[in-house]
Amino acid sequence: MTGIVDAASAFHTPTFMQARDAGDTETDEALMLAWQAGDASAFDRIYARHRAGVFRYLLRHCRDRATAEELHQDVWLKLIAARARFDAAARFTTWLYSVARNRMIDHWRRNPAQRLVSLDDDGDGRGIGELLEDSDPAGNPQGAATLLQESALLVEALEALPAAQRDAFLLHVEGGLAVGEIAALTSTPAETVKSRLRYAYKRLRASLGDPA
Amino acid sequence: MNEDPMPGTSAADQELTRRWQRQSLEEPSNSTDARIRAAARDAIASSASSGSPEARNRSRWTRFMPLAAAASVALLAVGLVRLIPREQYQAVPTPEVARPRETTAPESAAQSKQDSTQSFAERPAGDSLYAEPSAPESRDEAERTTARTRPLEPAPDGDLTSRQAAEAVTAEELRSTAPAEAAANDQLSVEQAAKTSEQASEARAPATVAPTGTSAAAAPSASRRMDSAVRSTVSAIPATLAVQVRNDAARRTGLDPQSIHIVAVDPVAWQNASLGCEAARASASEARVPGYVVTVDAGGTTLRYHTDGRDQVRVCEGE
Repeated sequence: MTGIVDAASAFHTPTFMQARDAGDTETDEALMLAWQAGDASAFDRIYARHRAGVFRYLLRHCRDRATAEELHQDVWLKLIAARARFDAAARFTTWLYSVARNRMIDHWRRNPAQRLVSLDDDGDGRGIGELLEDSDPAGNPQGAATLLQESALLVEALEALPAAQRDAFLLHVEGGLAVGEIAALTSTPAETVKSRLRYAYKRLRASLGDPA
Repeated sequence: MNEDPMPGTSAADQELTRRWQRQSLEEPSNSTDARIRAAARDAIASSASSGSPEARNRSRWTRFMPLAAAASVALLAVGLVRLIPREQYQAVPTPEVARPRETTAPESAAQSKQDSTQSFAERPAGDSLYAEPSAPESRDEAERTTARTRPLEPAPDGDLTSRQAAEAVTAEELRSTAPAEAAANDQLSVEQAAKTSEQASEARAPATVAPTGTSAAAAPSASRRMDSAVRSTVSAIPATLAVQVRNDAARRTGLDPQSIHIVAVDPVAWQNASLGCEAARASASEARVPGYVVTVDAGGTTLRYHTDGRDQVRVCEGE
């Protein structure tokens, strides 16, 4: 039961790193193996580590909280059903986010009217300037920046990114995946992933007034 | 180009990441969390009842294990059979070939009773081909005759009765009645010598001088037993084969065919049409051939014939 208590306390830690800082040093893969072997508390701990990241990854893509909740649940239920197929040689987060990403793509395929984008689309999205102009009918970016909070600016800037750049950024920041892992997960060359991340960072910094 | 080779590692990118994570605080609702955790627990509980994934894999293997074992045993058996030398044969049921002396069980029983009083000369002419009245010359020979007769497989016809009668003559019985049997056989030979053809009586006469001082009371019983045993041995092969074997043995030894004694008949299943003879193997078809190994005594010379079930008779070189 100690594991469940620990897991419950870890539910509100935003990232895996924070969970690790809290003293939960067991790797995701070890927890998955323990869960496969019948240790129910192992799932609680692994869920506590990744629940927020997966949810936000889905939420930033679909932009709707109810839909994100539904997708989030689907992702974890799929993972529960497929636990026997998990290979300990693979990294758990790569597997988890590939399930989440595929579920996201399925959602868009089934609901094309909602939003049909390609996560491989590197096309230019709307510029941050346009976004800010839309937010401020007066057309004053400086005034808009003062109106919007920093978080809203970032989120809206992220949504303005091309889908592929947004996807790479979310996998990197929310999922904690490295460039190589993102490249493997998205079946994209590592250099392309680097480029996408570089542009994403640049545009998001620009949204905060940092042109560098 | 002052770009960071690895995005997210520069100070500016790290500051952006920190600011992103500071504002990105959305989480799934408690109800969603509860549903997911409940599903995980249910999955573990159902795994425990029906077995873990590993256990299911094991049970899948154990389900097929008997089949795999049976297949392995079958392969092993086939391999062993193929390793057995082709010349080696195995006893098989007597082939169902036409036999002139096929009687029903009651007839055989009656015939067995008649044997005690009826001489060979009084029997039907066809019987002479099978009922070679070769009296064992010693107790050992009598035992050997009985022992070689016994392995014959049950025949689905009237021969069963005579075979059973032959089996009733155990070596022990023969041992205990040996003196009487000798007398009976001698007596039988005398009778036969008097009543059968002149050729046969000439051939047997030297060996069938009736000894004196034997018990006449024991003679009929022992005579019946030995008669059944010998007839069973000989009647195990078709008439044509018996004639061919005798004629061939007579030709090889220069003796009269009637003096050739068939002392053992062993049913066999030859691996191919060579009938177990190495010299004939090259041209032989590969189908199994039921037949016999017929051992004859030709004036002290023992010959072994390999036959099929009908008319092929062969003496293998080197045997």
